[in-house]
Amino acid sequence: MRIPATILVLCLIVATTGCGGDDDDTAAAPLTTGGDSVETPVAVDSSTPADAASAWSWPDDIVIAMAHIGQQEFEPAQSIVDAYRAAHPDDPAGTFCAGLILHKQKQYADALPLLEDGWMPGRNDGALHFIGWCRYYLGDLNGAIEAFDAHLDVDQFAVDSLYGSGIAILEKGEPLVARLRFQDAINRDKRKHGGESSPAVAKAYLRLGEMDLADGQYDQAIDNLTQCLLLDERLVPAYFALSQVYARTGDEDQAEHYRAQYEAMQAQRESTGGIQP
Amino acid sequence: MKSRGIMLIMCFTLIACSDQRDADVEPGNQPTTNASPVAAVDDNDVTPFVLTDVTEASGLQFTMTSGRMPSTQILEVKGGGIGLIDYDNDGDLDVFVPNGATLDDPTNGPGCRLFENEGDLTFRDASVDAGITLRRWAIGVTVADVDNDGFDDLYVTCYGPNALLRNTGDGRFEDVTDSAGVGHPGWSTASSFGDIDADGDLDLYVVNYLEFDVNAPPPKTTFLGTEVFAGPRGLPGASDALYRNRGDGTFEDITAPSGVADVPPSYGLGAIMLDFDRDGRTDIYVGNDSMRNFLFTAQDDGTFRDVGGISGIGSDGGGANQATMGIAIADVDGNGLPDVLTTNFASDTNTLHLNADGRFFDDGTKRYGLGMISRPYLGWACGLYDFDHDGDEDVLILNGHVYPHASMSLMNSDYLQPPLLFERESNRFVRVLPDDARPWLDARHCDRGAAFGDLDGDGDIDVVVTELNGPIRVLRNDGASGAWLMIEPEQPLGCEITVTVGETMLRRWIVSGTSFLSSSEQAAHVAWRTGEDQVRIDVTWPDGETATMHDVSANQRVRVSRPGQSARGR
Repeated sequence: MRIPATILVLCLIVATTGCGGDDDDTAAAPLTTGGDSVETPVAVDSSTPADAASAWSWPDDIVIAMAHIGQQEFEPAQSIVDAYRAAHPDDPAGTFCAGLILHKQKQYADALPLLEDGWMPGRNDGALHFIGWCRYYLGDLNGAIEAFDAHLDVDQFAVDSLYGSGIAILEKGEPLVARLRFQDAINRDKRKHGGESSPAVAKAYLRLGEMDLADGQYDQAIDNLTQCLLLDERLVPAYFALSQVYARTGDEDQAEHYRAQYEAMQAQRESTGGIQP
Repeated sequence: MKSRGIMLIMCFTLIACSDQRDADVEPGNQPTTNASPVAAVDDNDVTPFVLTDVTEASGLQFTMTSGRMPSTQILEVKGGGIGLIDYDNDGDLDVFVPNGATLDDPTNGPGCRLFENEGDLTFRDASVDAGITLRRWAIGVTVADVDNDGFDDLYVTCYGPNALLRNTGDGRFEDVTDSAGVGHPGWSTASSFGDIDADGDLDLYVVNYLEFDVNAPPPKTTFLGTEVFAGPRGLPGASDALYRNRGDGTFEDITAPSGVADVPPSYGLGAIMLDFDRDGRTDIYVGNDSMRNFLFTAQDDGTFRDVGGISGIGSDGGGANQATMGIAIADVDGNGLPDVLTTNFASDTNTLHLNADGRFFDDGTKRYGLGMISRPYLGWACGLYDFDHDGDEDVLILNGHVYPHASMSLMNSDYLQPPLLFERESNRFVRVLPDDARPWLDARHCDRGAAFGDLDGDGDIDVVVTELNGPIRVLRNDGASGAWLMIEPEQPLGCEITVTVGETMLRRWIVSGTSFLSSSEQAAHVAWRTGEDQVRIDVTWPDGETATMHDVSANQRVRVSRPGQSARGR
């Protein structure tokens, strides 16, 4: 199979920097997690330590496997990685890729040790991003924050990991700290791109809006949630939250407007719960 | 509490007043207590959250049936609940077991059981003596005094017609299902009683799951790449039913005219009837598997309107529908309104719905620390109780998967799972981890139901747990210290109880349908460690009638009669 050059480039970027939006709490239709996020164009900043390893390059087989992952073709990716690991059992690149395949299929328990073993400091620090989300979904909040922060230590513009740490911190019951993290993610992304383009930024706005809603700061909630949808109109929770905000402010028309959109998208959304897929 | 204090006989002055709307208090109808307080256990003697498995010593050794293992159809995996009932009115809690059957003969299983508490936390099988002969596939049970005769009755939900077992008052039950008109066919899971029309008797909401024919089971499907039995998605859901108690031993099916049928057929697994918005009318909350939950609020004309979606309680805070299994109620955020904790499927979180103002609910799961920590677990029964008597409610959740081959590798969740216990610490729930003193927290089971109540009469909350095709477990609470009260209002369901301890108000609601498929003790349990030994109790019945008791001593059961009872002809 021929892999488009753009996908190859993006895969390498993801492998080295991580990617935004790996929390499936906010999954839209189609899901923003999984393969979609692999295609997220997150540039490698020249100041990151990843550059220090420029002499090193990803093995060709792994590049091809990652391209398959990017297209959610997990079986061919797995075959390639299995063969590579059999031939190169000590190469962390294969281990990392094996972990990434499992991570993208939400098999976090099995993915985690592979990602941890496959992290090559200075080469694929984006692994820390995936390690963070694995730990988060396995309930290890402190471990998740540790991984996200470690990623930020080597890449100050890893806004996806900044967002991830905010989510984990929110879960730990520190909403004020989480709020600062989300705001910081937005600000760093602006500095990085001169605009708001990372998927994690849309979700940062979403989380800020949800927190505003819970705090009764309805005008602020509307601002943040609206901004969220401007960046990513597929984020179902934003429609839901806006319907809640407007219902609480007595604006029935707007509440119904967003509620209708939420329900239409909800019908298509893949639920994270339920006995059956 | 293993090291119980010496029973003290204390006399105290009861100053009761009532504020009922429609009747005067008559002499002899004032609130009363049983005047037999028990001393609180010294704090220094007790390690909190020690629940000792006393199943063997209790004699309540019974293995429940819910199909065969490993489960091959969805009908087999719900397991069964359990009910606490003082059927003989001797002052202690007996245990009713709604037992299932097998796919090859769902109408003729080993039969339900009734175990009589002989007073010292030992039980004897009283099923035959009590006339318990129900053998069809039973799943859930709700305890309620349906005919207001002072003896609690049993409503058993089944795969097949449900059963209303009337307590005749002489230690026996008679099946009055047909004459009462509540033998709902199909697959019912749970039920709840509450007084929706404020006429003083209990109406009935029946929760139905889905259409399933054992003779034509659906083909298997896949979940996360693994072949599994089908359902609930892909199978037709079932509509619930609402029955109005006519007060003469019969019920009227008001499902359609009441408005509760104005929602799509659903995969219901639980319901509670409670006045969520404190407007004096009983509302109905329904927990559904794999779809949005319902909140039916009572309208001025006596009908109900589903506001589950609008209010925010129908889904999680992101608008995602969940697979709700169990339900627990408490005022978690201290605003005086009932909040709702639901247990859900694995790879999802349990969810804490905070009642903001009676109209809207906020998702407080993350804020209170109950989110991601629950994600590897598939939760069923749950309870919000003050297990350690420190003045706030803790959370106990029983877990276990439905797919026999579930593992962390395949599904991020194991088949056998430990319980989750969270201690309330300030504004968070903090998981209590197993240790040498608490091995029960490390024991992995495939749990389903649980009923909460004071089985041994020492003032703390014990637990009876059911496991899928496993033995019932009796967990005696040996980890509670501090002052306590167990408040038993007459006609308890739907009552709101407020206990004022110094400057602190402790609020409770007595609701049927909490936990999962089970029926817990219908009393309000409160505890505290502030040193106060005289407290005030306020009780509000669903119809607005109230009673107040001043200067109530700690460490006793308190019975509160309805002030207007005789005037109302009950």
